[in-house]
Amino acid sequence: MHIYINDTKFDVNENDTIIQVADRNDIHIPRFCYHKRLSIVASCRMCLVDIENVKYPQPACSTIVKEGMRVNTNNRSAEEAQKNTMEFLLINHPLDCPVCDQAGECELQDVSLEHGDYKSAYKELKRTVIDKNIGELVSTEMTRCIHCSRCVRFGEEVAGIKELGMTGRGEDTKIETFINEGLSSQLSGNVIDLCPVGALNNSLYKYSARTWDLKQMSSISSNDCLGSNIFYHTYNDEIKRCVPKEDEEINLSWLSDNDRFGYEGIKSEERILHPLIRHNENLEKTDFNSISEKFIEYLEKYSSGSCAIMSAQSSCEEMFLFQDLLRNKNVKKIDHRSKECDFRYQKNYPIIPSFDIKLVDIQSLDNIIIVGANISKEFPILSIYFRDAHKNNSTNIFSLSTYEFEENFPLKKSAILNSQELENYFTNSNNESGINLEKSKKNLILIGPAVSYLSNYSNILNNFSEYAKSINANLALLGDQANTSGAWAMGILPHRLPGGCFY
Amino acid sequence: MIKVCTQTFDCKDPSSIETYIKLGGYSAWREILNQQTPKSQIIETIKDSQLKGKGGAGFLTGLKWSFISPTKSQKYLVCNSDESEPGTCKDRDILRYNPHSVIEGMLIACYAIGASVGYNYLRGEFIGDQWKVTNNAIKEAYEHNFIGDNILGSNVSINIIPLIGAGAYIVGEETAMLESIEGKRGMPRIKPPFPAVQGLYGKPTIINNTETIASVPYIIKNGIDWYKNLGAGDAHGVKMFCMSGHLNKPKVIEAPLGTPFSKLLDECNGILNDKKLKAVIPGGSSVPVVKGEVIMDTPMDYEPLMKIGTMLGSGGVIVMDETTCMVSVLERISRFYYAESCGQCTPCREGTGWLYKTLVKIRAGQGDQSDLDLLNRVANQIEGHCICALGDAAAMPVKSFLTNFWNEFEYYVEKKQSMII
Repeated sequence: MHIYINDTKFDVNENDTIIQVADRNDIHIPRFCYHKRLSIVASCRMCLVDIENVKYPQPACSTIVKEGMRVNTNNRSAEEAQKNTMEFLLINHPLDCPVCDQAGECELQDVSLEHGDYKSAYKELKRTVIDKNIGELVSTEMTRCIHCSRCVRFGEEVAGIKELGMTGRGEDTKIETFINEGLSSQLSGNVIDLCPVGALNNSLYKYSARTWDLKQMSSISSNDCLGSNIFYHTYNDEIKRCVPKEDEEINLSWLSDNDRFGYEGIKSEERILHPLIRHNENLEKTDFNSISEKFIEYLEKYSSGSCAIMSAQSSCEEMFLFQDLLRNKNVKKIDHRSKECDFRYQKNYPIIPSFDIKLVDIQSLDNIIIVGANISKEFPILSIYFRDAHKNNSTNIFSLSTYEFEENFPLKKSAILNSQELENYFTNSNNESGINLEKSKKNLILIGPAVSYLSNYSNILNNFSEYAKSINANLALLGDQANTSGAWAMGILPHRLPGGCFY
Repeated sequence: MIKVCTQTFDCKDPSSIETYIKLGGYSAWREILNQQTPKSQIIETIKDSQLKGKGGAGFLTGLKWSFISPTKSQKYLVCNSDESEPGTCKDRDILRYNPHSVIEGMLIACYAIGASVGYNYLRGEFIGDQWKVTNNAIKEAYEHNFIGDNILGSNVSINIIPLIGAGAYIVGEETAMLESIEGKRGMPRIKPPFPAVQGLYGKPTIINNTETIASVPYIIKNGIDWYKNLGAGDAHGVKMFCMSGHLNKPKVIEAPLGTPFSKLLDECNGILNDKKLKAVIPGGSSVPVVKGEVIMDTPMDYEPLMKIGTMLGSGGVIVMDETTCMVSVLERISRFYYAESCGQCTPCREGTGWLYKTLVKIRAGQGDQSDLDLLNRVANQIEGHCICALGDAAAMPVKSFLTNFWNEFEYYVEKKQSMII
């Protein structure tokens, strides 16, 4: 199938919309309400394009291609329509760009420069809207809102909690939360990125820098073991904010609030920024140069009786060097599992905690059993995949846990169990679990980090492995720190060397 | 004087099922059930009768029904009783005085399209009379087993559920009505997909106006030719005209389509106080206004009204005499669309406010010539660029008032006062 955009021929698929074809081929069509990961409402009318033999310009975001369709994105009719929409959008939008945080990265500003007029014929009073307090993370300036409804659809379709909605009619339409309610979703920060104007702002970053002064560097989030791709934006060598870096296999266009706002911890006064050395009862500040000799001296002196703990938030390189140094000095008790107490499992444990499934394949699963994890709080990005799986593939999701919580996707069944009941849940001869999974289906058992803190973790792990084998399920383990897998692989363990050789 | 939808209006106790049955009511429905008439035959009958949608667009009803996808899935019928177009007051009378014709029509329509459920969506303001009467009529029909499971032993099961809105004009737009029935904010959906393919709860749905539905039983009972011949001249069928404005006797008249406007005027005993006719809005406030002398001899039918630059619309005929200030009429009309825009799409949300505010300014004596050009330009920018027809409905009056009464607007901005003293 083919269509023509601006007289160039393009291959298209049957259900493509014009904007999808244009985006694939780098043809620019202005838009506000359209977002590739949200449903289509065609309400902003910014993407109007001219279609041959159609009287009025049509929205490119909702118009499905037809064989031989001739679309013009920049002829007189299309440009006129886009200019007119721009004029309408600006009549009630405050021209407060100099004091607006969004300036410099504002979609309205960019599109206005490209498609708008330099003056407005509107002489009446502009609409003003009272700001609402919707929580600590997202600040509002609702007078700037252009009603694209991206934030509303994000809540309904991605985050799974409808917290923002439209109230009022016509010109008085407002985006609001329920009366006196704030945003509670662990994904709420994404509405800041979604908002094309400065109506929903990052309240921690607000007024602290101008976007064009920021430097951008990419990184991996260290708040959970999913490894969301992020950009840090810095000014004067200080992290000002954190935004998502698109990644089709992990965080898509989103970021959890932990990832987005977690960098605040770097500025904490409780952080230890210098080595401390104990003199009698007191800890004294010192520096790395003066301590390194002392460290080696002590290490040689006390090596046989020493043990070492390293956080699994570190990088693999750091971990490798750490264990290499210590093992050379004969320190053998090295570990990263500071919260665990039952280590009987460790001999039979795989080289690294396995997560044998790509996140994007979660959609194709038939059944998922979550053990001891509140996915929407602990791994918000993962909850997006679970929601999609349920929505598109009617995946059954079960939850076994030691305490009660809510998820943003429907659970087929959830059970609150103590550690002993959890251990025997699938081994009891009189299985009352009510979870009967067929071998022929695609099954996944997901074990959360909280399970590893239980005193019978080894038995639980063993029993669930056996059960997983019996129903042909993948067993996935979620680490409790960002690089738990790295710690296992680099031998931050008493019984294994880097690469998993037994010590 | 012909009577179709108004048949029971002058009877004693018009809304009761006894009155309706006495006048031959439910015989068409019985006949269909007895004969197990093929669905396609009913659709063909309605198609051939040239019955057109009486809510405003005037689309062929039978043709609309034939678009319903032939799958075995659940289907729905929705009767649009959200009559909110200013100047229109026909459905309120049908629901009040002839509710059983709506019920029988819905049953026949449900049968024809294969729907097992029909919803009758009444506007919020009908919470008084119409809502009570409708509920009571449905109860009566259930008692007579004309609705329900295994109707009159025929194995046909159809349920009819009345609903009441909360007072939004936009819900009269068919897809906004579906959203509202689903419990969501009443905002029009983007089309395609059309409701006949993907409507209520994602299932094929047909939406018809109350008057259209109420006409169906009479057409089935009396035949295609009877209905077609009711029209005057080239027109087919009848229409209810809601005559309002400067009239000696404003009222709802059921008259043959194609009746000249002058004849409708006579029915209302002419213009109030024998003044001169100035202008007429023939189909509810959203259709273009025309000058009195232009419409006088025009047959009230879809095509002839198109020819003089307006539309039959919903049949809400608003008559204005020579004492009417067209600037203030337009201001009032614009205020309505400004208040009723749902706020979803940009041109309508922002544009209707701009139109209204500009007209307020002109009326306050602060406008100038450029404001008139602005009104025209903004109306053109709205028209055809919105999701639903509300944008067009807001733009068309502005454009037609300016075209037809430009001198009056010009006078107002120059002299800062109305031409009409």
